[in-house]
Amino acid sequence: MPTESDRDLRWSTYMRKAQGGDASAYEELLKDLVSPLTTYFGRRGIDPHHAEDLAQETLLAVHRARHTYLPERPFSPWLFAIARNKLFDFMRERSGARTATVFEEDVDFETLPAATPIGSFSLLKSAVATLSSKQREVLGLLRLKGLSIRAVAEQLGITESDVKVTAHRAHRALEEKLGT
Amino acid sequence: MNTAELIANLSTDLKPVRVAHRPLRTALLTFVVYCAFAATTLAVLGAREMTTVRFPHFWLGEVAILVVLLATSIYSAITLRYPAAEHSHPWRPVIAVLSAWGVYLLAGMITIATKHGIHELIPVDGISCAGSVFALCLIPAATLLVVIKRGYPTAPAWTTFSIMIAAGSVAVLGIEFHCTYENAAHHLSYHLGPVLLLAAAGLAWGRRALKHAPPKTSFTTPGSSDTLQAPTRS
Repeated sequence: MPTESDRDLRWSTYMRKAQGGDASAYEELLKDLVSPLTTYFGRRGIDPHHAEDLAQETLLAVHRARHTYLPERPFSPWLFAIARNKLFDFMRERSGARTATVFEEDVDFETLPAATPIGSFSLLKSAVATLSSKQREVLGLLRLKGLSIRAVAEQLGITESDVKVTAHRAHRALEEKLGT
Repeated sequence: MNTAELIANLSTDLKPVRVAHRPLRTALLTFVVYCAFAATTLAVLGAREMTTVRFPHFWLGEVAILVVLLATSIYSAITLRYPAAEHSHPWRPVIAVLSAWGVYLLAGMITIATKHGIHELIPVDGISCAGSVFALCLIPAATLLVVIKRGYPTAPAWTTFSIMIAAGSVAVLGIEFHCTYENAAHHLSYHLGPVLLLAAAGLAWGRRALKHAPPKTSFTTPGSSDTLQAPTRS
């Protein structure tokens, strides 16, 4: 029965090899990490679906931060510091999710054309043309592609609050132009 | 994308990396660079006439505190750029030294006022000192921020807190050799004050300043034109 220190040593060895570019050791390491990470998130009250999402995000973060692992240091504290960071981000996001949901309900762009008295496509088009390129991009991703606020933020490389504010301003600008 | 696909893509995407240096080494190097910056700034601004220092022990004590504050804050910032830093709360010594500086100035203010009159409790106008601190801290703060962003800080607020204290303290260290006001209230208001404001800004804006760049959003499967998206939370 391998002990925790055996496991840590194995992970540390895999990571050292991965830092040198050994893809098979890296794959083994990542496969090894999935279960402890899912368990870690599960024990903190995260449902299994989100726990898997968080485990995936942690693996991505491990990939990005692999150069910061110092081989002479134990691996587990390094890994779980990243996992804890992801968990805090998730908690923070979840605590702000209610605001985001209310906001998304508030900005119901799909009803805008129908609610426009003139109902003219050209009017809507000209109103959209007055928006900044960033506002158009955010609206397009949110409303046409149906992405979540988080996904839009990641795609555009901006913060989630920036996405919300941009969408809100775009909505207000369209309302003013269309007189709704 | 399921986890197995993600692992396969990350493994395919793997490239050798240069392992980051030990924190102490980077911190020492940063400390030397910061001291050189302070010396250069002083050479440009011009040092005060040191023989006119009214309270040399008080002044030397403050300079010593600033050097310690600079060292601890640089070490804290550099350590925090790695997950699972060598010390779990490296910002605590920074807070301790910052508090010590405040207490030292308060004590100095009372002692000097007792000996030289109540007017020592009123800060001599020093807007230029405060302005200089803010202006001089820009380059050190930006430099350290770039160094830190190359790591993966998992406590962003405390990291930027440490960065701002380091940048502020190196600026004040330079100002200490330039400013001719020896009124402790002036030092409290226009030397320590700006550093506290910088620290507060660091705490408030850390998450935004050190926001990790979004992960690469796609991986291309070798031998195919399919682009697989990184996971997005549903």
